[in-house]
Amino acid sequence: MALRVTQGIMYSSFTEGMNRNLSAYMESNIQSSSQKRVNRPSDDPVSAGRILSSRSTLNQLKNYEDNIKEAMGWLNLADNILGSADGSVLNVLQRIKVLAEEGATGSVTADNRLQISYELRQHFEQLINIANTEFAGRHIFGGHKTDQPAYVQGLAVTCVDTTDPAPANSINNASFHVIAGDTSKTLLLQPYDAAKTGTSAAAGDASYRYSDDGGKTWKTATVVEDNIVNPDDPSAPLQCRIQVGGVQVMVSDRNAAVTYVNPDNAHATNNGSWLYVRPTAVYQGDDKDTQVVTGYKPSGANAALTGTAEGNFSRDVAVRLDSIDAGPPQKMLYSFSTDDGSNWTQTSVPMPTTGPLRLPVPGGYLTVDDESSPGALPTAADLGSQFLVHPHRAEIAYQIGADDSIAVNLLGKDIFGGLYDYPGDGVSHPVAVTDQANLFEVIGNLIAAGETNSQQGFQEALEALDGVMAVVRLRVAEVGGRENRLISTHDALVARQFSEEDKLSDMEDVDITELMTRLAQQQTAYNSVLKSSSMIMQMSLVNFL
Amino acid sequence: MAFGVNSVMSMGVGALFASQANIQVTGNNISNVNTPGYSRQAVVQTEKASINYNPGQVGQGVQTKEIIRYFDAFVESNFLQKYGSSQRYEVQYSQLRYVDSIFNEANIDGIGSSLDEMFKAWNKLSQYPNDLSTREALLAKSQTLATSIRNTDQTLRALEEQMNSMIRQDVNTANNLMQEIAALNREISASYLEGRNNPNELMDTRDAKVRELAGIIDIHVEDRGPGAYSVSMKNGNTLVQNDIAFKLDFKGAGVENNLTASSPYKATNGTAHFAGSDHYEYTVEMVTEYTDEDGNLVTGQDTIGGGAKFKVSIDGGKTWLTNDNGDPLLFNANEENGAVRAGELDLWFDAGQVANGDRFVIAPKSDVYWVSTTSGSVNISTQIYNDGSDNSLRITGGSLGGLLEFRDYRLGEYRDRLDAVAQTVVWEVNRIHSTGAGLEPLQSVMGTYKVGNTSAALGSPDARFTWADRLQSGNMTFAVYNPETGKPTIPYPGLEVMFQQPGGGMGNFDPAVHTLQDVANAINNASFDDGTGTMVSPFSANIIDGKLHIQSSDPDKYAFGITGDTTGLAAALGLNTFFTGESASTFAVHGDLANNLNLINAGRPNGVGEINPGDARTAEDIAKLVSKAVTISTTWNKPTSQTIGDYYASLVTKVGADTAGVKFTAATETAIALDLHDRQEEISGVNLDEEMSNLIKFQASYKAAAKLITTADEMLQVLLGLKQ
Repeated sequence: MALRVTQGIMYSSFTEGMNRNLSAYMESNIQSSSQKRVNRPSDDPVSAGRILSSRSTLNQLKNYEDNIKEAMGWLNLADNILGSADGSVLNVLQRIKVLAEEGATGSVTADNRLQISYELRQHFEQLINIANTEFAGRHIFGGHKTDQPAYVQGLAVTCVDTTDPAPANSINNASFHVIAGDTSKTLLLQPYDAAKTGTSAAAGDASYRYSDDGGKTWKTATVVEDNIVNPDDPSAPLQCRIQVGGVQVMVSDRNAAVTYVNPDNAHATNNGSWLYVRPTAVYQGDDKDTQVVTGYKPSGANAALTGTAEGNFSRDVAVRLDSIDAGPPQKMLYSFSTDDGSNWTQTSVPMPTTGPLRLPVPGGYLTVDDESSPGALPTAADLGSQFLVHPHRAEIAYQIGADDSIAVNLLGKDIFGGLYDYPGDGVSHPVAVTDQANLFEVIGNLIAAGETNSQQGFQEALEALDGVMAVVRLRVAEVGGRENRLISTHDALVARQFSEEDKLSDMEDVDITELMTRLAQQQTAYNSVLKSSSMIMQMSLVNFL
Repeated sequence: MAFGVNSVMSMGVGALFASQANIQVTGNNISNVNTPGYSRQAVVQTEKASINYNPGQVGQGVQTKEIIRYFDAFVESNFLQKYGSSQRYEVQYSQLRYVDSIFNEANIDGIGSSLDEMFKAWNKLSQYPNDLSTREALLAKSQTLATSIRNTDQTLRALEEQMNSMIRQDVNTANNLMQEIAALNREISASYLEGRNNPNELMDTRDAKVRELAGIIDIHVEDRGPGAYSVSMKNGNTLVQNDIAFKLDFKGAGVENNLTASSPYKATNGTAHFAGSDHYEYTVEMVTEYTDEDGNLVTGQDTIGGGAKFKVSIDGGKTWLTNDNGDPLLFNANEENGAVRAGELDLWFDAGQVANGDRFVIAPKSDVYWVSTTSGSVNISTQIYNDGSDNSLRITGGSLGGLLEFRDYRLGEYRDRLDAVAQTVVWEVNRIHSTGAGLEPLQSVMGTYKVGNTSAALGSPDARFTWADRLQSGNMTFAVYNPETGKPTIPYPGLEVMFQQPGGGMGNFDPAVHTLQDVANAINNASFDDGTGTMVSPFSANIIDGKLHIQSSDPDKYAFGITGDTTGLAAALGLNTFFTGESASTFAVHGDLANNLNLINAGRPNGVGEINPGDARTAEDIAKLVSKAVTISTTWNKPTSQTIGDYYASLVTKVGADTAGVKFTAATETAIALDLHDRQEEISGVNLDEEMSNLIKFQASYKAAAKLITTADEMLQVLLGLKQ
């Protein structure tokens, strides 16, 4: 309380009081116009920071939602074309099965089988088209090689040799591959020499004939190049190349035994080597079947110490040997990193009495062994060694949660089979996929059976078709499972979005009722200070003199 | 004369005079009712000495002694202190309000949303890894982020410049005020006769000047009567002594030697040198006894460039920069060619011998100095210790204190943290991006980060390398591609680079051992059998201006890619990276990417060394950074582990909390200062009603005095009439 009130004190107190009330009033007005409680960081510093974090979280959730929508697109498409839509793979396979059953009956004529083969060829091409389906410009069954068709049509050789007893080093399917040329009809190739019927000869030395009309007419096929060094492995058996019409067939061992056929007998048991050059499809995508392990060694480390990995790796993993804990029990301390060594996680395993050392890492196991003396364990000199697991990768995965991702693609090779030039297998030409029933190979053989009037071929393929359909159904189920997971993740995501939006609104939005009450109070306060100030200001002794 | 008519007459004249003087003073009070700094004045009047007479002592009337002003020196000294303190915070508040609005993202988009947008664009790229328009969008979003971070930094730096000019103005004003106060002291002591002649107006003027000075710098006033009036800073530095004014100076960066008494460095006139700038003041102390790498205690290491080491402090030697074990970090004290990086500065020393404990205070910024007449200038820029307390030997109040605190400890901190945001985004994105692959293999890459000393171990401070601390032991592998087909030329994983080990032999990279030259050599040594038995090097590395450059040895035959790097070298040297720059001001998207979108790495070489268009491993990993806790640190703060977005949010919170806190402190200090001001005003202010009643009072006494004279006159007439 001022003892002595002066004009200066009075006026500064008026202005100060009016200003204070007015600025609080204006502050509420800003909140009213933006409808936000926090209009600058200093209004509520903690909330200001949390609002940013919350908005960022919402953005992430929106990203996940966006990814889920995209993933749905991929998986719905795969689901439709594999199993549920008209003209889907399963539909086509069912029709093929009907045709195969027809062809497998004994009452059908050669012409009927030929007619069946025409329709089969159409279905075969349809299946290749399906396998090359694109989603937003990307081929969905080619793994990471999205810019090219997953399959191209190719040729393969089916070898039917039921010579009894089989000669030593007999030929088989794997003995042949087509290196060049094309044909619109199945070519039937036979070792043929009227004088040598029933005897065996080295593939490179035999004489051949072939037919492109199912055995009605015959032409000569010749070994155009013999004793070719295997380009993949100079120490492997020498190869030879046979010109079959417009197609060049390579025989991987020119010394493999072929058996001359008896031209008078039809395709039957123990009638020499029957070779069908028939259509197939070659997978152009990539795989995720295996991984490569490399090592970084400190100087003085055992150079023969190498790593191999087993498991299902989706990303590169680096593993580092840190130290050996003398124990007991003796332990190997090691670290792994899934981000090229930015962050390492240390763990340990008990040291086995003999090697190899098996280290659990994310995705599988790393096995460290001494190449030159298997079973030797790493020593102190090897500490600091790093092993890098580089998986073959083909999975396209979308992030649908902070630590949750979903694969949106299926590899064509795992559905349709066909031929695949496995990288890193040391063989520079495609070979048939043998992990499961091979759709394109089965249908290729069916076409061959139709075009060469082979009832036996139909019968064999009929059985294989069931296996093929089982594989496709399995993949459809897999896709369905992933779709279900997307749906439930999406539901959870929407719930999280709601609660996050709620939280954000709590932090940044103004409470209108409270604000309006406050505005009214502030208005009253401002009015009253104006009133009281003006009353005092008017008073002066001069008025009374 | 006893008493008579004349006596009455002269008494009347005295009373008339006294009333007149009172009316004059009252008039002056009324006139100056609104004059700032005016102190109410009053006439001191006393009875005249009485004379002994019959019937006893008779009063002789009134006499006016002096005109005094109402002013309470004690209240004033309290006020000056609070006023300085309130100014320190008011000045900061007015600046912080601006910063508060710079970081305001309540209703507009800023760095926080740009950051989210960039990660969103990476996520989109993970959906469409080979789509060029998605790449274009990512580039645009990344550039937006870079621009908003750079602009914010630029605004903060402009503010810092503005602070410097405001500090310079304040220093000039303070110097002028000090001169004026000294001049006033001279005038006051010339006309001051205590108890008789009070230079009230001059003293009012001086008090106003002192108040103004107190608003600029913390002061303490000592008034010991006429001619003995001094003003000093709280730390004792004299600003004005009687009629002598001292000086403040605002000058650029400098080094101050603080050598031990017997230091041999004195004889050689040696000192420390530095390059770079920081908002902290560095205290560097020489260490000649320490435990060496082998764990042995060595002593007498006192030669610059020959074993001497030093430690660094940013709070005047209270705490030292430490390593992970908590021991002070020791740097090599070298001559210029071996300068080392400590904090933000490159430091080196003149050749010579030093003594343990020799100190150098390095001010890598413009600072305020007190210029003493005898011992040169002393740095008095505000310094705040880690615990938040002021260094009491420095400026602690006034607008100068506020401006310096704001410039060095608030703006500086925000810029540090913004740098940390930029650095972390650059590092984390580049670390992932550098081992990724774009849509085409590389033919030539130019590193974007410079190594100051290419023959010093990359991980040591001697290398003067931004990312020295981030390097790790490990190795790198390069893939070699056929540029036409894009297919790997040699089987996966390609070429491992082998580093020459100190003990002979080849092995992994070690940041404590290998120099940039070693890295270049290792890359140059990498070769493979081209199938004909000849070893070929598909690429070569050379160092250009401290940056590593790798190019294909035959662009028609070989292109390359980085397939593995557990060292961090590729990211640290700026090879195959997405961002360039190492601070908020240099943060940018790599220029090569803007010219060639194919160089944005969405995938990475797979297990067979292929780069496939459908692979989005790298894009996905970078997109995941948005929710990944990463290590973030500024040069001087301990590292924290949180997401980049959260770290930025904490910067916004800090700015908001600082603003709100300073606002609160400013309001409190100002309220107290205002209260003290009111107390002084109660004493020295003019109340018009009071003056009005005084006026009536003195008017009446004037009338009465005049009546006294007419009465005396009449009495005289009567006396004179007696004779007739």
